[in-house]
Amino acid sequence: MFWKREAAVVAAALAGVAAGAIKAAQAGDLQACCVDLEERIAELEATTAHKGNRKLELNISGQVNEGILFWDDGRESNASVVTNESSRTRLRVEGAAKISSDWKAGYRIEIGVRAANSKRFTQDKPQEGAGIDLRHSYWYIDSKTYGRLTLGHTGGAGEGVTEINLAQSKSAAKYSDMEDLGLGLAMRLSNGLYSNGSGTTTSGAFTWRRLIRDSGVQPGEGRRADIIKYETPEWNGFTLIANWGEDDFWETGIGYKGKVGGFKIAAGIAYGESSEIKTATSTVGIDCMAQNAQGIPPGSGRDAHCQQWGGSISIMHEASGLYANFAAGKTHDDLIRRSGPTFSNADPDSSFWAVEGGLERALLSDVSPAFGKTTLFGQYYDLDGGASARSTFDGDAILGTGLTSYGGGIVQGIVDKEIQLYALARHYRGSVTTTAGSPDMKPLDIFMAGAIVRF
Amino acid sequence: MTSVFKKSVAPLAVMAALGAGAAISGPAAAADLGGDCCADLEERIAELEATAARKGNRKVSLTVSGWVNEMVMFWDDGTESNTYVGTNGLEQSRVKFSGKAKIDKDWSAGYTIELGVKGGDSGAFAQDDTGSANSISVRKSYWYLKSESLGQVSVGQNGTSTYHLLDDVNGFSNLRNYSDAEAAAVALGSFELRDNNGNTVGGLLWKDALRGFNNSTPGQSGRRNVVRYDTPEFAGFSASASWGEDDMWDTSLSYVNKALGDFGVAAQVGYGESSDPGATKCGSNALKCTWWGAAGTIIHNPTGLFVYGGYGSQELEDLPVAVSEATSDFWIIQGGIVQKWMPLGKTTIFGEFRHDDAGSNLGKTESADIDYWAAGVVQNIDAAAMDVYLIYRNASGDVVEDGAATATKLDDFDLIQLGARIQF
Repeated sequence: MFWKREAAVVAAALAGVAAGAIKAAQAGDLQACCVDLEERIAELEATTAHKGNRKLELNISGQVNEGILFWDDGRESNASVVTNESSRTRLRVEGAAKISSDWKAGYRIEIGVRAANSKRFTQDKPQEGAGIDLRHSYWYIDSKTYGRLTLGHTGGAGEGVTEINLAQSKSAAKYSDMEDLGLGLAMRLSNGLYSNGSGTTTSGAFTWRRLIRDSGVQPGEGRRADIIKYETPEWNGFTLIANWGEDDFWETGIGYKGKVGGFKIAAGIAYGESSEIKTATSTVGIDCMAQNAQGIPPGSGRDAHCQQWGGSISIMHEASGLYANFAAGKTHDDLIRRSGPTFSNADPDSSFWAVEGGLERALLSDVSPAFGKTTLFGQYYDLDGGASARSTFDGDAILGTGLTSYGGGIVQGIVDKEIQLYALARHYRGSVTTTAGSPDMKPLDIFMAGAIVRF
Repeated sequence: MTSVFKKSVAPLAVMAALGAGAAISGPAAAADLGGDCCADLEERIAELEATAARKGNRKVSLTVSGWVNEMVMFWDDGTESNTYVGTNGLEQSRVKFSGKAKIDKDWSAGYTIELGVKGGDSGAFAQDDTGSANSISVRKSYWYLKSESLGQVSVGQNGTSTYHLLDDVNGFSNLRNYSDAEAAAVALGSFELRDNNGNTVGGLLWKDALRGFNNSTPGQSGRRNVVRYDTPEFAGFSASASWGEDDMWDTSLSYVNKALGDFGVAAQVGYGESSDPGATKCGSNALKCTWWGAAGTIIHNPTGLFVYGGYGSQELEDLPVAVSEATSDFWIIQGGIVQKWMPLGKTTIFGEFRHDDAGSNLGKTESADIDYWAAGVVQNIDAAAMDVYLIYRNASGDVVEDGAATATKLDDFDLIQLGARIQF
């Protein structure tokens, strides 16, 4: 039939036109697409940094955390720009490579930066403690089945175990680490003078951080050190950790991260022991207060020995953003009472507890989508410090210390959590019990405002 | 006329057209060139644009590389033993920033900044010290101008021409970074010497008894602030000369041929002088020192059997006082096999012996004779650019203390290193 033949011709013609049109359109689109992609690839080739080989990833990341810290020590007040030690400025390179479906290997090198040190500056030296140092340098081998083995300079089971915090406040002001913000300042006696005969200059004066086990590290908390560390694979949110290193200390701990009902929970607890001798230049995993470098001579058979435990938990109600953190830790020093007759009845234990509560919600999301979460928080900290065989106070042996602190603040996230603005205030009150009594000390107040930018 | 076919053809034509179009584009073309392909590339490029690190300008390249080299070391000095964790000080962990720009067909310019990082420094391990002085240091910082026909000139902190003069030859066996010529001396250098009764020997360290101003290995220099010239390679040969500090200079000649028949061959010889004892650490009272060294290696490529050997010497000159032995020298021989016995990567098994005839260390020693031997295995994990190593070392000998007439026999020192280096 004619119509059938006509229809076939028309269909064929249309098919040809359509095919041509599609081909042309495709070619046109493809050409445009290729030109655009070519330009963008050329731009990347010209402007990007390259890595050393094709096998391992290389990620460069880090953060800058700087702010203005105002302080009032009861006699003098001042303000300076400092690096916030709560989560200080740093630069990190890290990566990994897959060996098989179960195994991979990776590394991290992380360099810490302190333009001015918020936990070391003094009334006379605003730049005290500035510089760069090595935070991490390690490699690891990781199996999904058997866990991860890490070797190098890094933190063990006790590192951060008393500082667990699901809220943004962890980067601005740790609720359990008081040393970080202003405790390099020298303490003032009630008459306004410094201790240890220093009078009106801070050189040699007893500083606030010395209240906390002399080193400033809270009881129960670990440190980064040269260690070998094993971590089990995660099981229902739980991970077991054990590490050993230096000469010698070891730790073991358990961590948890998960959700229960409508709550996010993170928690950890760790125990450690140390017989490590601290020298003038060494970094130790667990810092024992009494040891041969502080009056107990080498070869006396009385190497340093101490034990500690610490833990913390953070719970956040996802729907409301209400959260609470709690931390505690204790360190026992076996040798403190053998450091001399003065210490025969001294307190061998240092312990602390700390709590933080607050609200973390996207309160400003209606103002602009650029705003992330807002965190409002309050903190309380209490230290019952033991005797110190290292430092003296006005020439008298230190038999015990105390430190309490309360404070609060606000953290505002911008661009999710990559930029955070913060402002906070703290009030510190410290005490020292010596063989001569307990002198009255002036309290310390600080206020800090700053920002952390992550890259 | 409005025929019925108009109503019926249109759908047919469209169907035909779609069919033809589909036929033309085809499944393969759709996958390779169609919108999905562009969308995929678009996504991948957008991801790169969002995540790739950028460099300072468009003209000079930037490559970030380096490695992490951490280990566990057990040691036993005959009286005391212990185990430490730390950075392998032989070739410490590091981050390197390097790049170059082409100026024309013949000329290019470039730079290197290399930062060394150490946790516990194994080079500082001692009986009472885990080497825990964490540090970040500038290893290299220099720029260079290079001509393909005339060679390369570099200025800045860099290896001199005799830097790793003996070590760098040991490149075929994958032992260069784990057991080179200076490895034995670096491993125990900061430990105190003990005599056969377990007593320390005048507070001397192994590196006090050994000589060689760079890593206790005569014949080699270190990284210094120098101007360095390297010739282009010619038939496997290249030469180098450097000058700097106040004053030192050295020069070297190298040959490398990876496929000389069934063999790979490499050799290097060099000579240097310094009148700057502070920079070259030849000795606190030395006014001048000279050094030279030579090393070579050969590997049978089909079997992986290799032999490496080297000799180095250092002489103190123009001394204000007479010394027992102004010259210190050492030699090393190493042999083994490197083969890919498993898919994971190549395995190297080796043994080595080193002997030091160390001269005077003013105010500390008159002389020393030290023997080392070592054996070990290095396993490469190719997929992760990683080498795992296990090495045993033993050192023994005797030392004549400053002013002493007789030698003190030293107790053996044993150590085991287990670690890995991962490169990025």
